[in-house]
Amino acid sequence: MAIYAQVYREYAGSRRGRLSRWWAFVSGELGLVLRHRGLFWISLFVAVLFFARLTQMWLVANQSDILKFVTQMERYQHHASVSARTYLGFMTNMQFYVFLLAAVVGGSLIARDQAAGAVPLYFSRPLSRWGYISARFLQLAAALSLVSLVPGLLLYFGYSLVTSDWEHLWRDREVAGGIVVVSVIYITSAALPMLALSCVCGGGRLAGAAFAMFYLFGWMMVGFFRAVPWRGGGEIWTRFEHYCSLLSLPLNWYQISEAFFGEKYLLLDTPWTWSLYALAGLSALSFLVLWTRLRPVEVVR
Amino acid sequence: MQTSNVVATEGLTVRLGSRVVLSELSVCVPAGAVGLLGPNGAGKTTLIRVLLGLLPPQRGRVSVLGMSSRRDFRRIREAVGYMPEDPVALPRRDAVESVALLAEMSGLPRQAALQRTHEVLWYVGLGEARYRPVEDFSTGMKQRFKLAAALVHDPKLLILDEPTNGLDPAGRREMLELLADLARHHGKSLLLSTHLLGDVEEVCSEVVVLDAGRLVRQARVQSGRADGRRIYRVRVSGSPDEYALRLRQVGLAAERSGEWVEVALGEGAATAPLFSAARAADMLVRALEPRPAGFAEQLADWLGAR
Repeated sequence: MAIYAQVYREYAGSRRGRLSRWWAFVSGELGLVLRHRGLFWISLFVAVLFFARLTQMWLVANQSDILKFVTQMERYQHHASVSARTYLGFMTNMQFYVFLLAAVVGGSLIARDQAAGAVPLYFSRPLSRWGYISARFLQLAAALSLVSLVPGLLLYFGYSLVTSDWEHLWRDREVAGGIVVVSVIYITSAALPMLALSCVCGGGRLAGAAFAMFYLFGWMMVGFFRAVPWRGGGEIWTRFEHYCSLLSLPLNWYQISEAFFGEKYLLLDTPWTWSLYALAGLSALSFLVLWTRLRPVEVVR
Repeated sequence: MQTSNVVATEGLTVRLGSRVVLSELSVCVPAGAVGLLGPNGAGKTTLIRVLLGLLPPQRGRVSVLGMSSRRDFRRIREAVGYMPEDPVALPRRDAVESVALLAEMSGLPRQAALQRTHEVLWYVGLGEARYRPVEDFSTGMKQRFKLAAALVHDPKLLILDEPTNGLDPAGRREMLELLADLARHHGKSLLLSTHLLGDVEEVCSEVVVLDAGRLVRQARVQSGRADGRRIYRVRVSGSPDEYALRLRQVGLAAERSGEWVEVALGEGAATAPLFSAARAADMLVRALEPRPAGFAEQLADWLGAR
C-alpha cells in the first residue's frame, strides 16, 4: 500500500493559549533535564551533606553531651549550636554543587539543540527568542534549585521537625529569607553564564569546561594572591586582592551569602553590594550574549 | 495586497550585511501548490524565513494568510507548517516525543497532540519507526519526520524547503506523492522551494521564479509542460494584454508574458488564428516563435532572459 493511503485527518479541536504553549515547551524539556544522570549523582552528594547537617541539628537539640568535645575546639565551636551560621555553612557548601550541576547539565542545553538542528524546529512554532531563553533558563534553574533552594528550605523545616521547635519557623524567618535570596542569586548567576557559554561554545562539554575554568579561575586568583611573597606587605596589596576578588564567582557568592545571613568570616573589605553588582553585571552580560548570539536561523552574510 | 493570496509581498527588501538578498520583491502567491524556483543564492530560503518572521525585512510589507509577518508572527507560525532544509532533530527524543512536543508548542492539548502525532507519523510512513530516536534516522526518514512535524498541527499552508533533498528515487517519488495528496485531496496550500524542476512539475500548479533576489517570472506550470501542444510566443505592435484577450475570445489559451504573449495551439494546428486575432485588434505581429516545450528549457529561457 502506498504510504499516502494512510488517512490524513483535519484537526478541528481546540487550541491552547500562548502561555500554555510556552509551558508545554518548558515542561516537556524539563523532564529530560531532571532525568540527567549527572543530576542524580550530584543530588546524592547533596543528600549526604543535607543529612549530615540534619544529624548535627538533632545532636545539638537532643544529645548535646556528645558535642561537648566540639565546644573545646575554638575553630569548630559554632557546630555545637544551631544559628544562622549553620545555614550559611550549608548554603556555601552548596555553591560547589550549583557550579558542578550547571556545568554538567547546563552545558548541553543550547549547544545540543544547535548541533542537532532543533533550533529552527522550535522557532517554526509560535515561540519567540525571549520564550526560548526563558524556558531554557527555567529548566536549568529548576535543576539548580534541587541543590540549593530545596535542600536549604528542607533543612530549615527539618530543624523544626527534629527538635519539635515549631516557633523556629517564624522566629528565624530571616534565615528562610536568606536561603531563598541567596539561592536565587546562585541560580541566576550560574544559569545565565552557563547558557551563554552553551550558546557560543558549540558543544556541551566545551561549554561545561569553560564554565569550570571560569569558576576555578576565581579560586586560583585568590590562591595566587595568598601565596605570593608580598602578601601581608601592606594594605594596598590586601585591597588589590579584595578588589580582584570581585572577578571571582565563588568569592562574590560568599560575600553575598554572608551579608544575607548576617555573618562574617571571610573578611573581605569590599562592600557586599559591589559583589551583588558584579553578579548582576555578569548575569546581564550573559543575557546579552544569549540574546545576540541565539538566532532562529543561521545567517550566511 | 489581497487576502485571498496565501502569501503576498510588496517591495520586500532584505539585506544580510552588505549583501542585498531580496530586492524590491513584490509577489502574490495564490492558494494551491506553488513552486518557488531559482538557482542557489536566488533568495528562496531567505524569503521563507521572512515569511515565518525569522528574519526581519529592511523594507516592504509581507503578509501570510492575511497576517503581517512582523506583528503576527506567532499566529502565522500557528497556521503554517515549516519543513526546513537542513537535517533537524530534537536531541534525546524519539519521533513520537518530538512531534508531540512540537504539536503542543503549536497549541494542541496534550491528548490531541499525541493522537495526531501517531496519525501523522503513520501518514508519512514512519509508523513502524516512531519510537526510534530521530537522531538515528536515515536521511529519508528525517525528511519524513520533518514533514510530520510540519503537518502535526494541521496547518493551512505548508512551506517546504527542499523537501526531496538527499532522497533516493523511490523516496523522492513517495515524498512527492504525499505532497500532491496534501494539496489535491486535503486542501493544503503548499509553497515548495526547490531547485529541482521535476518536483515542481509533479506537485505544483504555479511557479514563482526568483533570481538574485528578484522576481523573474510567475506563471502556471501547466503552460510550460510538454503535453502534446505547441506553445508560441508572439509579440505584437499593440497592447499584449488586449491581444491575449482577443486570443482567449477565440478559444485559445493565451497568457501575457512580459512584452510577449504565449499561446498554446493544438498539435499540428495552423498559426493563422494568431494573425487573424492581431488583425481584428488592429495590430501587427512583430515576432512569432515557438517556445521551448519542456519546463526546464522554459525556466532556462526565463533565467537567461535576465
